[in-house]
Amino acid sequence: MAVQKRKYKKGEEISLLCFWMGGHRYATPLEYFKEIVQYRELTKVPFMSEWYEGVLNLRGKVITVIDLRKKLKMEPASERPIILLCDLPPYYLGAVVDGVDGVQTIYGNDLELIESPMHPGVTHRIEEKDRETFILSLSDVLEEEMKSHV
Amino acid sequence: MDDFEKELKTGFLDEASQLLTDAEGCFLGLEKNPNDPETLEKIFRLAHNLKGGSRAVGFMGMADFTHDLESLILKVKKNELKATPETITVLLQSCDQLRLMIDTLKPDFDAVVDVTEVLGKIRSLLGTAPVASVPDAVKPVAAPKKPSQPVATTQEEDSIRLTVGKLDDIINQVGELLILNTTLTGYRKSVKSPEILRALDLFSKTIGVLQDKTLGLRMLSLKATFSKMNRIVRDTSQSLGKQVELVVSGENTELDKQMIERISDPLIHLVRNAVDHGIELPEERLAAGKQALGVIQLSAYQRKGQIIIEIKDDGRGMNAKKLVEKAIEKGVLPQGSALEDDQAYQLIFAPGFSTKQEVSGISGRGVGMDVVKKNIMELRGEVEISTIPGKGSSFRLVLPPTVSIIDVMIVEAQRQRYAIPTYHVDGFVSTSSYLDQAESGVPMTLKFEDESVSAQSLWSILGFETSKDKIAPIAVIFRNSRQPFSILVDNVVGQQSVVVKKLGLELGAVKGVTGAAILGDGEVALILDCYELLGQKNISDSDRKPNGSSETQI
Repeated sequence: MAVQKRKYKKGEEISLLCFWMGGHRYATPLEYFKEIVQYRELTKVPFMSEWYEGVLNLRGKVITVIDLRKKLKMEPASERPIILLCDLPPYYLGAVVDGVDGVQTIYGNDLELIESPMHPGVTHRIEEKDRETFILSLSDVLEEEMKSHV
Repeated sequence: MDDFEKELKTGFLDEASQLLTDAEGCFLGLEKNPNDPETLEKIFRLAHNLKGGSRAVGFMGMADFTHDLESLILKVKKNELKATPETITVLLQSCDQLRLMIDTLKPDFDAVVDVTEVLGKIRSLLGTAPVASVPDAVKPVAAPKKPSQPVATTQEEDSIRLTVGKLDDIINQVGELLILNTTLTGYRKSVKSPEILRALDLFSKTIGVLQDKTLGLRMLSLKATFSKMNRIVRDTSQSLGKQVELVVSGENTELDKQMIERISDPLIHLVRNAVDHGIELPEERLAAGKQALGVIQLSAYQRKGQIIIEIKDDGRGMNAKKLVEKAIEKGVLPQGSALEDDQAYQLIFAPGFSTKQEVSGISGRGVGMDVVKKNIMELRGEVEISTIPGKGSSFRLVLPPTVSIIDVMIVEAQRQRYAIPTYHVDGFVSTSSYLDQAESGVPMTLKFEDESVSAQSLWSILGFETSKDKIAPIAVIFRNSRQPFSILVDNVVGQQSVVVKKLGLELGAVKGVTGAAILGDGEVALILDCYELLGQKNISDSDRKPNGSSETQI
């Protein structure tokens, strides 16, 4: 049940959702997100890894929520974390991040491939005047998550 | 032909076309991926079910055809035959042939479809004797005859057919209404106006009625399912030279339609097994000092809100030692295994396990019992076995009455709420008099109706960090296991009906968690199976048997 991998073409216009984790700015194509939910107390699920946050009721649906920060071994650095609802068929789950920075549109050729990322899931980098953004492949992170689970 | 038989036959044909429609994708999938074991397994089961069903209702032509088809698929499955394009073509043609058969039989039960060509192909692949041509007297039917007049069904006027999907939508919405109702009831205290209070009461009452009615829509009696068994017992016992009487009771017990559909095949298997493996031959019975006539009792009843269907025979019973030997021989168990009797009985549910050597048309190809178990487990039910060698065996299907809504106790531990199916709970005890034993997280014992019951805090069972301050005040008692046990909770919030929601795929199966329920205030409560939960936690605990689940796990 592999999640589809996203490829980036050179001239392609890409809308990214940018968010903060562990003091770094990350971005993932907007198409993978369904909505943004304010963090709230979740129902814990027993016998799960530490980065497994729990389950959430979203309009009658029970949604699994993971803490993306803990998953990537980062210190949670926000008083008001945010849950990003990710739609990566077959998975549909919430991911907790420190905060959201908004939507940014870039072009495929702005992306700079990263050969040896600081942690799994980071595929590219965008270098701008005053900031650096890492493209995070949620599918890579999730695939790894599912593996470590089984 | 009496109406009953007609009904059976029509029912079977409807079911058969449904099965075929379901399997169509599999047949097509075979072309792309001829060796996919899952697809082959599905088709094999389809053929197996069609064989059994058609035999039971007396469509012998179809039964014979599917028997050969089943053998062919089995060969492919076992890799004795390569799934060449040629083989696949024959399989696809068989599918078409079955469809033609069903369509032809629908308006005319006595119609005979010429299967010579396809059957010949199957047999030549099997390497068995070619088919004798169809007797002259029987005219091959080339295409389904369209009845000159539409077959009128008597109730057409005052009933409507609707898809289960639509019904489920309604049931889900009613489920949401129930949640809403619980929310509203929670605000009762802050309501001052007597009019609104009255309206609230009426609202709750109406929703209760609505819930019963909507759930009732899906409820059917077991009558049709049970009466199918008469035929199966008769045919099976005749072909085996046995004398068997089927005694049926409780056939008016109602079950969810979906549930009935999904237990139909398992029941057929169990009943057939009872005749085939349970009841002895007449001479054997007489020699054992029994009546020549064997008795199978098929009964249904309610117990603590659960539906029990029991198949009980007065046959030879099961021999635990033999089962283990067989399992080792079949490679189901490693050499030198020793099992408790109860565990040995569960072996019959292992895939590929069948205690009969020869392939009879009745049972014994090793398809069946594992499917029985799987189907029942999928319905959140259980199969209990009890057997006395020489006296007979009994199989009990323990089923929840509906698939989607269950009655639960809401309990609280460390401010998290959990739902426990009410039928699991045997009682509550205050722990206040046991405070001297207390150190939370450490198992202790308490008394419930003069029985000694072990106790453990829910929070620690769930593996969450425990603060060692004080013992939780209420023990929830579970007695339906060899060792009664209890779990300690901070509070029992109450009892309510909840809609069972599945946990996301991301979670996979969490031990002891059967689903989730959304409570009145919108919070999610996990639905716990405490037997499974404790069974898991206590495995390392050598002086205590794993609770409850030991009866159902292999």
